[in-house]
Amino acid sequence: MAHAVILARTYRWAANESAVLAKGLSPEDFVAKAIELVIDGKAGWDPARGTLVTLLKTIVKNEMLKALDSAAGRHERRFAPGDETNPTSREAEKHQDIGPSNPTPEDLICRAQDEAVVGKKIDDLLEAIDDTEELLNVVEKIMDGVEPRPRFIAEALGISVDEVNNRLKRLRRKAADISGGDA
Amino acid sequence: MTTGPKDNRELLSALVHAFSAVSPDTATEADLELKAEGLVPRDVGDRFEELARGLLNKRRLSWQDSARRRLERMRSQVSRVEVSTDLNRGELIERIRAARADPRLAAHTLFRKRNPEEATLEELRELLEEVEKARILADLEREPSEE
Repeated sequence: MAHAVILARTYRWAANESAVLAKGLSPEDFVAKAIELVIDGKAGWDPARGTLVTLLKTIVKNEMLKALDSAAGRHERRFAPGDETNPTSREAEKHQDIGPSNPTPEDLICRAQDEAVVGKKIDDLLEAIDDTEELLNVVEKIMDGVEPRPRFIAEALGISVDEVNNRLKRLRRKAADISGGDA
Repeated sequence: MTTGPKDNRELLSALVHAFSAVSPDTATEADLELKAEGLVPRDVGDRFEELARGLLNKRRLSWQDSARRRLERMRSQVSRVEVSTDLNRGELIERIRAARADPRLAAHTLFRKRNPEEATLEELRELLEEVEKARILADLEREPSEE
């Protein structure tokens, strides 16, 4: 549930709207749906391919992205079998996140944002961490093209994954603060 | 050589990926995230527990209902089996032999203890009736489950 809350805040920050909560849906609703899909056997949980928690997180993420997509007016889009942009088939099947080498649902959602609004968002975040070198270092590595996953960032910075996780959490909080504590 | 995000949108997307990749490490941390959203962790846990219990109960009841319907249908069909008294000995034996050739019934215990040729007319009728019931059961077993 905490993960759902984090995702909702992150997507709200990125999409500059409460799109994730469109149609009156809260993070709790997404978790409830994930639990329902697993208990009904519709999620196809295979313990050999990932833990139950991982699957629940993946479903929550997929459902939120779908809601975001729908709220952005792209709900008419149909996913063909094997379509790499289909958040449900791709991630539920693999039980894992995929890097940004192919356009992900997150990429599509961010691409749909107004460039000026996104620019302001990034500027505000950079300004908020201007005096915090360790956080700036993380963002700089991502800007340099380091894959935005903790282990790659850790490797690039020569620090532990735990430290990167900690910095990413702080960055996330900063982003939330910028959006008035709601992002 | 890696290339960085080409514009702010791509950077935003990369940050979203990075932010979503990190979950709370401890229960305390998770509780703090929930509280920041205005939620009471214990209440949330209780609600999900109740939801899961309800769904599991529903699933169990659904399975029981399905099994009950199947059983009722089976009883109804089996109770309707009746061998016509118009059939003569030869016809009865022929039908029993045909049933023996049915792969679903070939190994049935019905045929192990009785030799149709040595049975009386009444015994043949009883045997054919049991064979017809066994055939209904075999058909029902092959039907896909309602679930």
